[in-house]
Amino acid sequence: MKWKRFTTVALAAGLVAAAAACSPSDESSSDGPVTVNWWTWDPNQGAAYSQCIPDFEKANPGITVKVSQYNVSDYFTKLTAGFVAGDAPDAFMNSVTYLQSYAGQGQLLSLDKYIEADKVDMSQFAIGAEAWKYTDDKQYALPMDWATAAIYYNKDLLTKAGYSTADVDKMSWNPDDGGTFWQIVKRLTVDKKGVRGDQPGFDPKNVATYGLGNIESTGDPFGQNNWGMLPATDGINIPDKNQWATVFNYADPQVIKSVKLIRALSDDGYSPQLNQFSTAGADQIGSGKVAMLLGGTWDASTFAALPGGKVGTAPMVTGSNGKRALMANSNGNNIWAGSKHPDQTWKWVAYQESAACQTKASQYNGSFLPSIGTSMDALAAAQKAKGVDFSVFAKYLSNDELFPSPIYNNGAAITNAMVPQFESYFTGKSDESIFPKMQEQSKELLAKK
Amino acid sequence: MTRFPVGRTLAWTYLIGFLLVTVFPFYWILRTALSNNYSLIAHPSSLLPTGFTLGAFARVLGLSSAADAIAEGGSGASIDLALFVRNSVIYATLLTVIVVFCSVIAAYAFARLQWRGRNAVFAIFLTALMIPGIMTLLPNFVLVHDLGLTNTFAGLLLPGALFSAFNIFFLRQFMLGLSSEVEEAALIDGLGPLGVLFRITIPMTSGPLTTLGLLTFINAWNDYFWPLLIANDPSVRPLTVALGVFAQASPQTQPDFAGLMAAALVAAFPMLVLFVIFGKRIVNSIGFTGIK
Amino acid sequence: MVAEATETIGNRVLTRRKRVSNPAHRNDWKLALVLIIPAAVGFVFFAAYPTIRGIYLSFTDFKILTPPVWTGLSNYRELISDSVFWHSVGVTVYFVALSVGLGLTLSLLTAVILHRLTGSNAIRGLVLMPFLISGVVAALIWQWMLDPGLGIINAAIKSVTGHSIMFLGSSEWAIPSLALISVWKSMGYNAILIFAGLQTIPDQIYEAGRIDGANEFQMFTRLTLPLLRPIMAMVMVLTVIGSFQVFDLVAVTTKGGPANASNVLPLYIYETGFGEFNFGYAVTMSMALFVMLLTITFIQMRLLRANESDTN
Repeated sequence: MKWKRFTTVALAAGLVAAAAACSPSDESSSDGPVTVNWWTWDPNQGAAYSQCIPDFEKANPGITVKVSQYNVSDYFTKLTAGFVAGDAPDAFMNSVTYLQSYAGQGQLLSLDKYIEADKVDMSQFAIGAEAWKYTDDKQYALPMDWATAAIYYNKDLLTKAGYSTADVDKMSWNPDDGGTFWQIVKRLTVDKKGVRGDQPGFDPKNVATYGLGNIESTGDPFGQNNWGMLPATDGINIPDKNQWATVFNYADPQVIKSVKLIRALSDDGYSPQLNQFSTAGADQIGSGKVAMLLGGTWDASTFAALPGGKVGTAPMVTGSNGKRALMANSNGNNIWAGSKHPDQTWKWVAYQESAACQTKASQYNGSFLPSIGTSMDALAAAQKAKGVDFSVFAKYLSNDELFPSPIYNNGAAITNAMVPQFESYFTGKSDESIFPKMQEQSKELLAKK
Repeated sequence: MTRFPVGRTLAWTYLIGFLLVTVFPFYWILRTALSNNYSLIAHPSSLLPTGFTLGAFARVLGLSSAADAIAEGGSGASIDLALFVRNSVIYATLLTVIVVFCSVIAAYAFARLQWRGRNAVFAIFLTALMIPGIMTLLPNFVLVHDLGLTNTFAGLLLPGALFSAFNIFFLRQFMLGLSSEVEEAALIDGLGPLGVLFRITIPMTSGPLTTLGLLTFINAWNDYFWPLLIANDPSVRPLTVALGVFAQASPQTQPDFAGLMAAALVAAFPMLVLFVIFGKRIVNSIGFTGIK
Repeated sequence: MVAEATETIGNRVLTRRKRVSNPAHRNDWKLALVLIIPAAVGFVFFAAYPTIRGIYLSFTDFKILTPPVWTGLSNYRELISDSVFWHSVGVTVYFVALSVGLGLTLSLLTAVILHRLTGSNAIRGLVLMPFLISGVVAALIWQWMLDPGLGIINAAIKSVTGHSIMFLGSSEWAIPSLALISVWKSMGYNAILIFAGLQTIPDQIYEAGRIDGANEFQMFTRLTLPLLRPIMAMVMVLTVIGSFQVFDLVAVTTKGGPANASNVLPLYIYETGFGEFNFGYAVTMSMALFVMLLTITFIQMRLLRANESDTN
């Protein structure tokens, strides 16, 4: 009878509902096995730190660590959505851009009492500890790594163009004509008929090899890790102050000159358009589609692993005065204020940022440069033994060519506001007139919390 | 009168073209999922899988080690298939059963019972059709959040499970169109309205009920936005969100194309199976929703 | 009781009855109450209350993790001067226009052709396949097929024109590509809906038309289309409302880029709320979207005179 069948179905549904309502169980009690969730946006670092898990779990029975990785373009929204919905990870890798928004909303756990209790020696971190202090003077993260830019080049293409490594090692850039850097890029660009970028008859519409990979992708308000490194190395800074800037000087004539020059590079055919290639830098440089890349220190081991040893590393270019000033982003390990197991999470974070784990993990795949000085040295030595040259990076430190990347308020909103505008500029949809507006906008947004 | 053969040929050409466009992507997912990422870069347009490998599926199902995964261009992420399918099944089934039930009894009250204010209340319910989902999404999130029901099935189900303006409207219209002879006769014979509802009306509405059930199930199975807000914890996360998460875990330097396609296939698979089994039903029942 | 007249048209029995109220039914309110309580609870708590709460929240600065702070009209003032919002509205309207326009045309065409050529269940089934998969899956497949370097579509285009098109990666093509994906996903479903509507048109009407000497095209425009009006109206209204709320497709592929070219309103609302904690403003934007939809639907219903059917 249909009626009976209906009741049965309804009853079954009720049972399932009851079961389901009871099912999401989690270990919220502090005894019993605890899982600590840790997030990162870099799959290589995820794999690297996972190497520390077995030792950690052996020393801390009852704690399991789970590493998850999300694409950097989704990472921060996922994190924020997690704060809102109450399912954020216990600890996570974070960028200083978001220190203020997260700390300001009370989502980060201050680590001072843990640091004191465990007597963590903050001076072992060569770089980054200060960056993670908030305006309330509390320490909100243990520094994880530091990263900055580097130039990678296809060795064959370089020699074919008649350059030596010495040439690449001392490239300079200025916003007027791009310095020796631009010269070399143009020469390295070859069109489909074999004409080089600095020869007459060069056809920008049919390029076979681009001199430099695209540098217009903007992940943050001032192109850090990409085009933004160029004006910065020449001493042209967009934020008016390194810590807690009040305005981003987009309308500064030097800044505008720089950005114009950078856009012209791809417009004139020496660099591919934004989004033209969806494959990785490794493929682009390995296959000869581009001759040089402005990449990050985190790319070094990927390129080194390319078959044939084709890719060389050169330091980031200098400014017009021959000196380098490189923004170094130091990522930090944050603990979520809403974590259900802060003590266990701290144990993992402290272990992650100890020399033991830093050394082991960094040497696993060379995917990051540890903030701890001793680990960094150990890494450089180990990589040298493998034939990968990290000396470029070690020299950045010893020559004091780094400065911490700027911290500012309202990171998420400013990033969301500025990135599309830069994309619009670089794809030719808008021109320099947007920069004064952006500057005003930055003032407003930076003043808000 | 005969139809011009030219017209027929054109029509068939169009139809075949249409079917090709509709079905080709499905073949393409399969082909890509069975290929190796690096071969894909080398031979992007080969019609057959290139560098044939089951590695992508292994990655997606969590059967491959992180090292292997990264070696093949993947990211070490995986979809815990059993868990997320279970979650999707629970969500979709419960939602369908509950909402269809609540809707059919309400529709009966509007279609067959007489009571003061009946039409007014119905009109009020209908206004909900005018409220776009996005409008109530955030406030519903806030409500569920305040009730402490985020990351629970209850929170996932509640907003949609009790009230569906469309279902009530559709069922009521259908019931109004039914001949009430049998029901009237039963009433005269002494069966109460409740009995009529369950023994006569509902069986007579089984067609639309199946339709609504199928449609609701498919929509719930494919729901993304609401679960994205509410159900991120793996214990409640449904398959769609898991797929999104997997896509987000793609190495940022280079998307894991094969892995993504394998994941997409895995996510679409249950619906495709359902379709093979219930195909004819589904096709016919969609027709019903069109007829007032 | 009930006065009836029945007639048989085709194989459907149409019953026209005059309802005479039956004394036995007069006071069913107790039962009615019980029967509508679940739906009513759902309506009140998850449709009515959120709408009202939403209206309230739009007047506050609500950072979700801290209690809302009343700020009066400041969100609305910000809305008016928010160029990203208005750009987003434009982008969304563009998307809707493309996907509904193209989608309905194709669906109608397909339905008519199906109706004429074959009633095969297999073919109808194939036509429906895209409907079964989620927006996320559809987005991923097409993103792969439209990839500038490796996608099969661009491989074909390159072999013809020598250049590939950056579908999802360029500002000009982002929305059209997304609309394309949306059309691909829903045209089968809409086609079947319209097809079912076509089936309800009695053959007699076409017989009569043919006897009067009308040709195929005339029958289509003078008979089929007007009779289909209620169905088309319904499909159109639903498709428009659905398209305005597009989220899955964009969130998984372009995420609003490049340069906000595909920053549809639901995405912008989501980012504002969940990416920047700014719930108050996000709700304000939802309200604006609500008003827009209401207006558009109202206009549509008016234009299409959806309530009447031209069966004269």
